[in-house]
Amino acid sequence: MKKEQYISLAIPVGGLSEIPKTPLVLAISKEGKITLNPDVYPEIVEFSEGGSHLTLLEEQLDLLVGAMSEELLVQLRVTHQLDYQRSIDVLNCLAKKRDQKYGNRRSLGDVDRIHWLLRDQGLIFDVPMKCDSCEQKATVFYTQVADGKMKKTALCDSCAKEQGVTDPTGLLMDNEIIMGEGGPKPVASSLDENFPELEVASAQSSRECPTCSFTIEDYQKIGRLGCGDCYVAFGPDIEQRLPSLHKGLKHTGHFPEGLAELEQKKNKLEELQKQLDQAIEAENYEGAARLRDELNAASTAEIEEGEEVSS
Amino acid sequence: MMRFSTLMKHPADWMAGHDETTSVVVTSRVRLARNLRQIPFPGWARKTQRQEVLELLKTKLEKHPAMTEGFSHELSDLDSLQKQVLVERHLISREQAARSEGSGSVVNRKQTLSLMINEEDHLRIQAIRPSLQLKEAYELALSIDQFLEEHIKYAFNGDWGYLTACPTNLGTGMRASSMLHLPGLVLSDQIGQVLKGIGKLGLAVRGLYGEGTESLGNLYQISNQSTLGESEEQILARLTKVIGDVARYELQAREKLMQDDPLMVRDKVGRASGILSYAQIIDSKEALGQLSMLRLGADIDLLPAELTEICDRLFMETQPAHLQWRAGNKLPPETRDAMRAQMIREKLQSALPPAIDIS
Repeated sequence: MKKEQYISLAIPVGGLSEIPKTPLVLAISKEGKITLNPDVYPEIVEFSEGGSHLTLLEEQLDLLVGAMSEELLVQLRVTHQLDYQRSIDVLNCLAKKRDQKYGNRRSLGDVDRIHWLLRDQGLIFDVPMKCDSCEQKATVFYTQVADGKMKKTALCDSCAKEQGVTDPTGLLMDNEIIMGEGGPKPVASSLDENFPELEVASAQSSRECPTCSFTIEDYQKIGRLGCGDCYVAFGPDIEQRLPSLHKGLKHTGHFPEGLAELEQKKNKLEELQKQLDQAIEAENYEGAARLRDELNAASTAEIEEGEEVSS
Repeated sequence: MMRFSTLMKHPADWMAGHDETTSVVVTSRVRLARNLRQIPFPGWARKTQRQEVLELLKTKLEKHPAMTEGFSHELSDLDSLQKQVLVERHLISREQAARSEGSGSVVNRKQTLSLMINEEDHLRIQAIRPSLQLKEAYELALSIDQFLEEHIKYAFNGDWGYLTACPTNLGTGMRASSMLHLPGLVLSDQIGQVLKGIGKLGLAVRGLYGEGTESLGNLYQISNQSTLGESEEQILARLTKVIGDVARYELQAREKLMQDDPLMVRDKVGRASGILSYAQIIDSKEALGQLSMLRLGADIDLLPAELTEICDRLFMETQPAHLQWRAGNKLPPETRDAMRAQMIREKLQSALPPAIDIS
């Protein structure tokens, strides 16, 4: 049997202090399975499937961190067939817990440390990864670090071209973590117009939810939203990042009493508007006038009822 | 109002009453995530806001007919052992156990409905039914949901459905899951394949309490991941079909094992009976594994049928917090292991004749 080669690193979840009593050991298997206490009483806290949100691990940590008065030290073990992505996800999860407990939103010094440690052992460059957009082998990797939260992207050649990410720029920063099969890719310094989305994101960075003052950065950090109205305030941002595990983008299930009719009206309005636009385009002015009246009548009714429901 | 000790004395409704349908699918659970309009989610709300939400929901929920004489407590009133017990009973989540101020739990007397206030969302309505009854569990949860609808305004949007703290629950806010006992698939080495197949269908598999390997009681939970873009009925139908398929594979695997290698199965069951009847020290991992074999023995008629229910109760009652609660204080693991062994021996004494013939 192949001997397990691993690195261990004690990561304090909480303020820094002297070295640990007994660290909590987390082992990541080559399939991405995460096991807690692999030596003593192994508990699988995450299976191989699933995205970057390690909800089960998080639940475990919540219990542990919540129950402990002193800080928790975590030892991370990674086999040599390392899933780099997975270890970063674990680190993010740990950092999040640390931030939640201590309220300090510091940068992830530990991520850099572990990154270098891994690289020193030659562990990270032979990781076959799949493209985020399709099932092809990924060749372009980049990591965006903003406010201590890392956003990782892996794309194959064709998807990278399609999305205009052929040339990760300074905007994506952290050159250290940009890597490809043959080692770090050269990084161009020019800002490129192919990144409209990213620019939009930074332009919106100061936006707050009018109801609860939550910001989109908060969402990036903790993966949760502030209140129901945040979904309206950050609609497009959320839609972009909507977990891919969902089957669709529109709710087709149960509606609360009374809201179903409202939704039907809204759909009817949209339908009428569409017909109106078509009629105008076709220069069918008679039909357009009729549709406009219908639309006006329907929208007055909708506004009145809408106010009643939302008050 | 039901006291904590009363809750503990009674097994949950779904633990009693077994037939062939519970031989593979032990329980079905459905949980609905709901939030109040224009009030920050618990993780972002101020303490006073959380207290207000708790007060509002707790008062309303206690008025529901199903909840009279139920259990209703603020989590900050419970000690860590009591909270852990509720986690082991699946009545609150681990995440909620870690929260304290402004978080509450309302459970009906039969322990089929559990309402978590200020967990990750303002409210999580959970219903538990025995065997594969996801639709029935959903309807039970829905009855509470519709009762509340008359009194409060939910955070809801026509496009995105019920708005939840985490976008992974967006839409229906529904997570439905069944717990399956799959020793046949584990013994015949088919479990990996089956789990992989389930994953490919966009469903999630996990162990009894998040942990899960064949050594932990061969218990697996299968649940939906997608909550948006499908209706509740579609999700439940898909899940019910897959779980039904898995249950059928399990029964086939058991049958095949008994044809191909009956001696191996008898040996496993017999050893489990021996160990559990005579062991003086047993840790929870070993107990779960042996109880799983005993349950298998009862399900395939090698052992008396009433053992199934005894095993299911022992699965829960030999968990660390349950044991410690019974003892009245926290215990070191070694003492727990001795207590666990004693408890199992006592429970099995009446059901398992001392010199059992399973040939």
